[in-house]
Amino acid sequence: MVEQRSITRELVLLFEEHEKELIDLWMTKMKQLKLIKGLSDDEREQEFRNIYRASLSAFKTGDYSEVENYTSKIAKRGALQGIPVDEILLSFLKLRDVRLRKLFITYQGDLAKLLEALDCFEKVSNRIFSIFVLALIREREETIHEQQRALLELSTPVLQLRDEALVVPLIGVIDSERASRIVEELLQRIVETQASVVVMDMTGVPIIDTAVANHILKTVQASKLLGAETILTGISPANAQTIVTLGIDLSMIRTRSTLREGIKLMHTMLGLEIRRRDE
Amino acid sequence: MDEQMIEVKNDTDIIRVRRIVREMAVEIGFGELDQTRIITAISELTRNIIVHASSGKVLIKEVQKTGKRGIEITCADEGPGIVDIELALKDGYTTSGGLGIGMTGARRLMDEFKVESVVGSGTTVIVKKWMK
Repeated sequence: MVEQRSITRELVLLFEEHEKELIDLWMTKMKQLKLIKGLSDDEREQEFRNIYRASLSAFKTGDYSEVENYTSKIAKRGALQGIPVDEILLSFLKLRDVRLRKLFITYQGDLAKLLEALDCFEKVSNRIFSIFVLALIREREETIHEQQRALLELSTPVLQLRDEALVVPLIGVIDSERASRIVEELLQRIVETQASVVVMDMTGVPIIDTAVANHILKTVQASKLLGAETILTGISPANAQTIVTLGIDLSMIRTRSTLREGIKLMHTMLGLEIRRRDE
Repeated sequence: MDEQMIEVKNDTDIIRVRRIVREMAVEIGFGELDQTRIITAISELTRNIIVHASSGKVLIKEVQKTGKRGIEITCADEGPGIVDIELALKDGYTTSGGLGIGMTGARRLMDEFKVESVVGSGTTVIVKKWMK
């Protein structure tokens, strides 16, 4: 254990002493490989020195928090500036290569010492690598999560078709979160537009289970309280049969097979008559 | 692709389960109506897991019986269990504020339905649908 610590100290000293040499070598390698082209030379050198020192602190203290902070910062910047993940990982691995070679050169005459140094180096280096990968994955997950939220907002359009009529084309899977957004948005629009008819089209909804049906029923009831009648359209034949087998009662809702038929009914309910001009 | 296990804990997982069930149902050769029935039933059972037990597992596999092909889906959780299964399988009975027809509806949509539940240690529902 004492020996382990002393070899660690030796490695830290070695890397500190040769910091400039190793960073320069690292930069040259990166240039050859054409990695991280987005940054200027100065920025790159600054960035690399930070990585170099952050990883060295992990060797020195056994504390990886500095590495964790730094990697999550890099992951964020990488995502912002569009630096590919493989380039970030390859750059880090290149630093590892540069340091490894230094170890081989330094201990070439003493195999036992070299193996001991490698044991120590690999342990820390692998840990840092896994922290790096995790930070990059976390950043990706954050992006995906953001996109999901954005999609959620986009996916609930309430369109005004006539002075007193709204159309809600539902598309995709309706979960509780989306359902409550739809209700909220729809009720607000009913009040704003004084709509008296709402056509809700389900053509794009693949499955209507009891949860979806429950949401629809509640939406229809709430709309009615605000003075709007709902016409439900676009339920597929397979869904219609399934709804009946399930035992869901939608008989209190006006339904039409297609959006077109629903619009016709809407006109009737509004007392409108649509004709060609020459008729 | 004749057996798949999915951990479920939120609405996104329900969507995933549905997609995988649909793929397998199509592969086995079920028509559109049966696909819709199976997916709707699984949707109910998976949501039950999330609502009552907050998480669980869904196992989907292809099965054979006297030359017939079919799909078997097992929904298992380690939730509170069902106190009275007879009552839970009655239309309109709910403890969650839903319509109270998910479980019975799922039973009607499938060909075979088996539920085992131990209060305090969890519920397992096994359903099967056979090709006609």
